[in-house]
Amino acid sequence: MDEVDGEEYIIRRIPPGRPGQDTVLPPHGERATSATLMLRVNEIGLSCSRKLITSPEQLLAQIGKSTEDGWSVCTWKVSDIPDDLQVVVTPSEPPELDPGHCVIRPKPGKSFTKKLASKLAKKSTIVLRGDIIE
Amino acid sequence: MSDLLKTDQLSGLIAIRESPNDWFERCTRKLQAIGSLEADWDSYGSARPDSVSLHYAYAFLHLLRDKVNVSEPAITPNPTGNVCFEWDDGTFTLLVEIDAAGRCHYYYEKGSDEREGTERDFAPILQMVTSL
Repeated sequence: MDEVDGEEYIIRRIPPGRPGQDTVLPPHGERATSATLMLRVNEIGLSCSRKLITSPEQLLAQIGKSTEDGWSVCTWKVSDIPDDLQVVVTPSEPPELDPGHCVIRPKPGKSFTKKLASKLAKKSTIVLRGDIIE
Repeated sequence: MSDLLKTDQLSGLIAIRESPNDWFERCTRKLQAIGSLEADWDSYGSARPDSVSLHYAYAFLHLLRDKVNVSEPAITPNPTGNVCFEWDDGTFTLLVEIDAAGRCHYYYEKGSDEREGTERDFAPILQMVTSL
């Protein structure tokens, strides 16, 4: 599978935050919390999208949501992704759902640790901020 | 007059300090809200938050309340359904995931001290929290 170029930006949906949960950490001007960037059991990589192909607004529209529903979108420059991780192009299921789909996954011999989730979270920035839903 | 002014200044200083009790209720509400989330809350196929992990998260929160100088944690479920607590003020990081067996999987970073591991009870984690 093809690795995404380091100059590209990738994006991921972040679910609504307070009062239900802290999906965005406020003290540093808003990044994703580490927990939202962990993998499910048996998941090989973190689903994301290439911003070049899928816009933040389109990413939310894929699930019928918008910032008005409290959803946000975070972003990374691929070259900022921690060294033990790589970003590879991966078709979505079905393929037409997200032509920009890619995953952040551990490099061979590495695993997706809490340390990596934390470092990944600290590198994220919010590119589309969801409204606060009370 | 001078003494009175000092007293007022002291009161003001005390008032702006936040005790754990100030954020305890907010955190309790966060856990309650996490308990009402359905599967796929993150739109990427996440599991429903696990009720046993939540049980241990409530217990951990109650223990935090009794500690002094502890700042409010961010509380978020993760996609496997476990509850996570996170502290980060730019100089330190503590990320704690509490699983359904009550184990704490953590990542701690403060200066050159960087650790990752699992603890079977809360005591070592509480020690890390109070050292932040």
